[in-house]
Amino acid sequence: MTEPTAGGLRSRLQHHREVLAAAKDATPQERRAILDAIRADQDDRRRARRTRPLPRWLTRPGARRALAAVAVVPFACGTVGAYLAPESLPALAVQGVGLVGLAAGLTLLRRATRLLTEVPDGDLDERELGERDRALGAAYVLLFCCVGVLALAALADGPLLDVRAWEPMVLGTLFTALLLPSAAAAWRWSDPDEDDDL
Amino acid sequence: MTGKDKRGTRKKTAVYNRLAVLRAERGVSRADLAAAVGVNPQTIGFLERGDYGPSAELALRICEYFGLPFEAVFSLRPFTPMSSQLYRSADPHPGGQP
Repeated sequence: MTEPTAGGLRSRLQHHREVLAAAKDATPQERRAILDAIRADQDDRRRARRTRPLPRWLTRPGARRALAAVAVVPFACGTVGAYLAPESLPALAVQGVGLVGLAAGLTLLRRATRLLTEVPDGDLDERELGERDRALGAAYVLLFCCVGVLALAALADGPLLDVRAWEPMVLGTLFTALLLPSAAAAWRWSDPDEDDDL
Repeated sequence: MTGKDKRGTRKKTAVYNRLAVLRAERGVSRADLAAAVGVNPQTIGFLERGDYGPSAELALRICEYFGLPFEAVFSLRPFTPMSSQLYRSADPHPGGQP
């Protein structure tokens, strides 16, 4: 699959417009055929993304584990942001860091794990399904810990600590929940041999 | 059967196999074997290194691909090298006696 460029994006948008225009005047059978073709195209693109060789640095266990730790950034930033004055400069800076962590996690973590936790079962073999199950189990435990911290913050609000705004903390927890499956998979990812991709 | 032990080294499966030898002998690439048995080529690498124990279905598909009985490809004990097995079976006087 080629990297998305401005020209590539424009041509894809043009292609989508043409498909929609064709579907507008099509019979139900023709619409079904168009839909099947779109699905087949999406499957092909997803498979191409999965088989794309990884950059060398992403195959190193240390880099992958450091990347996995990025999943905690939105939660940590949200928690810190909850105790800062809303819309103050420090609060905005912390929330910005959280969003950067989310964006980095969504792109790099999924790339590092070859979309292991995102693709349908049919795209994975028995070893990968086992790895995904273990990653989802670990992500579930970690998410439980995050929700536990959220609950403790709610209990301590008032008597011990004064939460200024709940939104950053709740959003941070949700964003971390999005990243946890990929992060757990990246943390546990078994190192492939160099010739495994050949 | 996969995962890492407390020292951080990858756990080995208890099932040994001759996949690497059979592939080399027949000139089959990992990608070809993987496509034939319906797995990712990386999974063949994991099997060859003993980092993953296959399901019964996958093991049987691999045996069918090579046209060999199960015990010729997989074992619960380490295999003796094929070369020494061949040499022993070809030598009518293993003790060196005429």
